[in-house]
Amino acid sequence: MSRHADSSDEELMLLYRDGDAGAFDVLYSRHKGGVYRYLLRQCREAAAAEELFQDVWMNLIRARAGYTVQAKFTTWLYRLAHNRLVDHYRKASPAGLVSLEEEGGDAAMEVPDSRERTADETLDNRRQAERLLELIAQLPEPQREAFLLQQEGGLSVEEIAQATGVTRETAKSRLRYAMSKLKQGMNAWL
Amino acid sequence: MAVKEEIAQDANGERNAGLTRIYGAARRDEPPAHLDAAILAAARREAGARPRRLWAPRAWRVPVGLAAVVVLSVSLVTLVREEGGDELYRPVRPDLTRPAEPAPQPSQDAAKSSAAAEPAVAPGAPRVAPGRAAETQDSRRDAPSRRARGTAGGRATEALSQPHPQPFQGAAESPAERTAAPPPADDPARAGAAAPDRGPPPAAVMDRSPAAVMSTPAPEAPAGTAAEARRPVPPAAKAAPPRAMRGERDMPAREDASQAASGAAAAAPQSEAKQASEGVLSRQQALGAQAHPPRVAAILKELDAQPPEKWLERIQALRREGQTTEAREVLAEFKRRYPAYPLPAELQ
Repeated sequence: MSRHADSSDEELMLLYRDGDAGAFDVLYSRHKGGVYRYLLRQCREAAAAEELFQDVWMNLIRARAGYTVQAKFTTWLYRLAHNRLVDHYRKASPAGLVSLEEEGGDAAMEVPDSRERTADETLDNRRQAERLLELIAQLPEPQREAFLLQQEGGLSVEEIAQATGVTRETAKSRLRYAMSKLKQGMNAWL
Repeated sequence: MAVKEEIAQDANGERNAGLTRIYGAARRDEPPAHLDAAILAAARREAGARPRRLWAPRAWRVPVGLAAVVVLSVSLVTLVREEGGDELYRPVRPDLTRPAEPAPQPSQDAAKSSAAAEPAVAPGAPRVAPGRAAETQDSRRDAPSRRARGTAGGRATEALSQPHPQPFQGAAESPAERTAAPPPADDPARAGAAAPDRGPPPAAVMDRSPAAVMSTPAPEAPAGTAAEARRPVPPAAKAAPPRAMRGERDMPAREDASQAASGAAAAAPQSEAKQASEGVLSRQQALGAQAHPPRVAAILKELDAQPPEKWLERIQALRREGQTTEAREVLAEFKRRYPAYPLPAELQ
């Protein structure tokens, strides 16, 4: 595995396409956490997240033969995850799909004011994280997805747009809304 | 992501360092180990198939198999064509049943030598030889195609039908060389026919090699001499004589040439005293040529170049002269030569 440590994701995927299983091990170790958390935060159910996670990687394995470097690997990977997630929402509930596809939704979100919390509610980093996760979970799905893609996949606005199949401006707008709400909710600690 | 870009995103409200830091602390969730194992195993299985590398050798099997099929097919077609070539000679044979063209008279020297050698000829030798000796000679010239045929019948057919564009060289061989060659183990009949204890064959016998016999154009021609044997032989003359001329009417029409050859070889010991020069020509013909008393031989020689009418006139003249034996001999010879020629009532 060490011989692949310095290789880019794209190089590793090309190596795996050509039959190098070790390259896939490195790729998987690099991205398994991000993809898993992206799915977990989106569907909010561990069991569903695991199923989706396995499907995403299996789709990647099956699609390896046709892989060519046309974009950043993570963009492709999270595009696979996004598509699988959309399928999951379609099966689970059409409403969920509508929720995922709607552009607005920021007005509906009510971020609890941190000042309402008691003074002795001093949160450590863990509790801050839990609070942030709560806030993330309350985000509209498109905004949440944009935020997670940025944080977990390290994608830029353009890459988020590619991964989610929207325009750059849409992706940028989603991301800005998400950031704004999260900052508002985490204001006491930021 | 570059720091510059992050700062720009911070300014645009697309990124917040504090949120990123806090979210980083929340990254504790990882996929379960069993999922890791399942996915990695699946990835290894797929990579283990190694389609491009492993399929490469398999991909060669198809072209290699096709090439083998093509080679075999071409070989088969070539062989069949060669066999067909032999078949093509058969329709030519009936043409030989037509009245033979005047046979070239042997040279005086050849006649003398053959006459001198005639009594000492071991008739079995030329009988045995057509297939085997011709094969021996031909195998030196065109061994590959000969070997490809491989069957006794094929060899006999070739021996009877293959043209010999080059003069026969076998006469130049030493007697020891000729007699030392054992008969082929796969042909006991011919071997047996070749076996008669002839002792050291005289030179004339040596000259009566199969090819030389085959090349002898006329039945009256005396036993072949070395000079005669060395003469280039036209292909038509070397083709197997018609069945009628060979006196083998009792044999099936489509009798295999190998059977004919082996049959002739098997009958050779019994006809040793009568057989002579015309090895490939029928033994009957050879018998006639050999058994003719000098008087009949002279008549036959005289009539050799004559048309059938002259033959009949001469036969009738002989009958009128009371030379019935000669007339009968000449008539028999006439029938052999012109089997389809209508005979007058008194001669039938």
